[in-house]
Amino acid sequence: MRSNNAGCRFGVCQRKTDFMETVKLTINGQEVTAPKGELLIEACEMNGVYLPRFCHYRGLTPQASCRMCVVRVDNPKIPKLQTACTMPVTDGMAVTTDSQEIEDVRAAMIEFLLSNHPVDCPVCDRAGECELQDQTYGFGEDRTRSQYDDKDNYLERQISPFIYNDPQRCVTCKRCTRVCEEWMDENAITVLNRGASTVISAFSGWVECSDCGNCVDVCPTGTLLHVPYKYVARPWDLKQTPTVCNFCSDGCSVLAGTRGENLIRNVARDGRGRTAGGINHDFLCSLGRYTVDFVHSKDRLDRPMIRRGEHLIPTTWDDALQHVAQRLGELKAQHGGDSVGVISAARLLNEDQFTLRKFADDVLQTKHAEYYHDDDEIDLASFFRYGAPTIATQAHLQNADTILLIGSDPNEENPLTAFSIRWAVRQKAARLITVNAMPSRLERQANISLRVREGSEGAFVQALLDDAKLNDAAAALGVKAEDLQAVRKAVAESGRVVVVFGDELRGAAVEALALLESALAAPSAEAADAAKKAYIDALQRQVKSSNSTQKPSINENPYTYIVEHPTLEVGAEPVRTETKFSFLPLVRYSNTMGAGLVGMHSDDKGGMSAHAMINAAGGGIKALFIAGEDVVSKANGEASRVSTQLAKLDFLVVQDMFLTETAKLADVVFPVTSYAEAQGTQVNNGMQIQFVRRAIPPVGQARPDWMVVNQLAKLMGVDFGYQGQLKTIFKQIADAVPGCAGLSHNLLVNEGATQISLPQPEQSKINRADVLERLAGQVAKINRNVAVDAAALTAKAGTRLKQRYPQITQHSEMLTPELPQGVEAAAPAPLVFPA
Amino acid sequence: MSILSNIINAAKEVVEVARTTAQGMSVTLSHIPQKKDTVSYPDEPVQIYRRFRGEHFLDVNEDGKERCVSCFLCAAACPADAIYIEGAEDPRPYEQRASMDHRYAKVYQIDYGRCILCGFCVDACPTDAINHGHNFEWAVYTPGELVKDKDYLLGNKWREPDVTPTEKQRPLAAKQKHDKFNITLK
Repeated sequence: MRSNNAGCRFGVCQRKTDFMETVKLTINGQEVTAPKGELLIEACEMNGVYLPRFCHYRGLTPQASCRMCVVRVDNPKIPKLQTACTMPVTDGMAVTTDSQEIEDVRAAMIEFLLSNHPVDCPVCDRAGECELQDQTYGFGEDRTRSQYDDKDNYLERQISPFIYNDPQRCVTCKRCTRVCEEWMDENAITVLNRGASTVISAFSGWVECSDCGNCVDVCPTGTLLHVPYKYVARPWDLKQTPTVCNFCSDGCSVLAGTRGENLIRNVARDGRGRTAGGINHDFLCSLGRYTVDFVHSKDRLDRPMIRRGEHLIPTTWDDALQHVAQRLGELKAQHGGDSVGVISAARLLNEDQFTLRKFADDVLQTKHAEYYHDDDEIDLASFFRYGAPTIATQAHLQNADTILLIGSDPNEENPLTAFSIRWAVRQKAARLITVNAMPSRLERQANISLRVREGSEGAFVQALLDDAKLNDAAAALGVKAEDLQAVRKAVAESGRVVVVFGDELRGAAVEALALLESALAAPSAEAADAAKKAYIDALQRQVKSSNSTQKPSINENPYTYIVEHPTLEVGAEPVRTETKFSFLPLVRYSNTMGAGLVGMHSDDKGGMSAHAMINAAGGGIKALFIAGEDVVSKANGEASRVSTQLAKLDFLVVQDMFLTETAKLADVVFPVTSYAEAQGTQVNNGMQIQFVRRAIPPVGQARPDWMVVNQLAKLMGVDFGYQGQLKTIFKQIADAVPGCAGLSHNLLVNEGATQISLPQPEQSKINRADVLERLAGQVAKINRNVAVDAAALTAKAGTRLKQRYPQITQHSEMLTPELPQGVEAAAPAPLVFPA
Repeated sequence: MSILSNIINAAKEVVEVARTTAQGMSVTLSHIPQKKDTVSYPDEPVQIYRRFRGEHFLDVNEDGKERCVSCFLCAAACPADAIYIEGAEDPRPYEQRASMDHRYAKVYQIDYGRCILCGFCVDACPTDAINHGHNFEWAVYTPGELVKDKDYLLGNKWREPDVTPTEKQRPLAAKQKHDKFNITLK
């Protein structure tokens, strides 16, 4: 499937080139082809010639400050050596990369860099994955002529809860500042001073940012270091296991670095430039990167526990399993199968969800089995009612013409999606339109941003669908009708539109999304191109014109940095969808999509939802089997009511990593594995199924969720036919679930993220009038007297992602790091070169 | 006839056995009065050569600070995977901390059940913290006792036996001077 790729040096960042225009050029006398417009440094790498570099980084704008990649272009009009990282390839170009002249220049550059570099590799955490080390070995001299003691003597210091800074080691490649600006749009880390005294720092001395840590990962030297990883291990000691992050629904690939049986760190890219090869290029967010210590928390359950009177007493697996099998059997015989409910956490892997569903169907014979989801989450059942609209992946997002963000704040909840949106706006001149009640940092990138009334986002869908009701919708949203008209026009004439929507879109509005395709027909390819060109021209005029100080009501975005350049693409190849609209539902948990896909919901069987099961405790429900979810802590403000309900149960089984509030009420608690110890598959919000690898062996006596349930089923007389193998479970999933046919673990290991294709909604089956009527009813209910007040909502933002995983975030010390003494009182003064 | 020849053959055999025994014993007995090369260890102490590679010791610098900065290079060089280190930070000033650098080894273990005494760790050490000592007496009752911790290895420096060349070793040292490497021992 990837045979037509021009592979890179590491064989992981592969991009298709067959659809691109190519040019022929000569590198060191050898004729090669490269995509048109590609930078020379990348073209060389594609063809097996590695050029040394510090400042160049695939995915960042060219900088050309380190001068390591210099080449000789054989053209009399270009008398000097040229930097390959800023030179696009042209047809017939002839390049020399390995003459004596170039070798001398490289060695001289290395010598200059090292002249002010402390050679303290033994105490530097970057040693072993340091690009300066590698390139000194590869291209430098083995001696120095600058042995003097008065090197810049800035002290090593901590500049953020997660970042250590040693300014002496800096080679001023400015990768970190570019990452902070271009990937994260935070501008938290910056360059101070000039010339030889240039240092990386922050304006206030203390970096106030979202702590994503990407600046540390891209740093080629030991200038920026991770605080939690400081002095803990060496990169050559770590076993790097590519696996998938468990936190939000984006499903980033991470490289889990393990030493022995300990999970040490998560990175997106190891120091040799090898990425985890996933959908996220080299990007990771704060939670995915730093929340690894909960795996080895001292509070992890290591043995099964069984209730004896008031206390939970540690016991053996056999004892606990026997007890559960016996009690569940008794209750089933006494009250019937439907008296038992099964609740799973949406973060559990497909294999776990599938086994729990089978357990409910075949063993307990209950119709009540569902993954836990709140009422204010995206209603996936409505979304998929008429079939599956095209689901957008991150690659679709990065190549969209227009991105429509309705509700949600991806910056907080789905950081990779926010990264992709910024990417598309900055590098591909995508038009971003935000419709949001809550303030979001992404509005800075937005071409049009509509700040709407809370809970009125459904009216926006109505405005898109029906031109006649636009004024009414504008009134409901609390925005100007002409702004809404402008949005509608932009969406109508644009080629590919990705609709990113969050929890705020409810009920009929989610259902009505399927109608967009027929309501706003796709323009012809020429018209779409013309519209995009007109947009880019307008932006460039805006950037060039100096007198545009008056801020229009529609924000004409000055942040866009338009470069139509193949090199600047991240991750996958540009993808085109069949349909004009594609959708990215920002679901809450890492495997919400998968849980629904493998049937861990009770809609079609007439069973109760997870909330209904808890409410029916003591009545229709006599026993609950809760896998991996802390339903007590999750009940916002209703914790006492939920715990009272759970106390009414005859029998409660909980399997979790920690002794959560829910587990404390249980009769039997099973210890289960965390994401680093589990193996299986999970489905992200782009319907991409990914393989999660086991990085470390289970902690204590913990077992995978599916294994516990499988053993229980065996004790209760049902054999699922797994033969103790994960592959067999997935085989059964592939047979049972539409869209998964033909998939296997082996395939997923080799292919990485694979999108599951589901049948498109049949427009003829959709009852348009009914959907629109219900949508109109929903819009009519919006209270138009409420003021549009973003400030009131600001307090809610910021912590939502962390609140979703109480049992994990409560046990991660890294999320509440100990700061050095007196940091809050007096931030360290910014570094200024002494006069 | 046959009886007679049997007797003769038997007699020849006796003579042959006596002759070969005497021949063999003459070699053995001739060594008895000679000077012995073996040492009846452990009743007598053995003389260790200076470059003998025995149990390691961790060195300290002239201020008494541990030289080890926990760079993990010894563990990386170790072909037997015998060294285990955990690094940590000691932010106190030089005078107060126990180590030379603020990076130090919180845990430093060598498993002498694995160590093959190749000396690669000593070559790899950038701060001359790890050295080969001369102790080889590490017989224990359980394999776990062969894992030596940092305190023990630091203490080894003070337990080092005196290995100044003896009279017996001096001719050897003098001989080495004329070897092809032409090294002069100081």
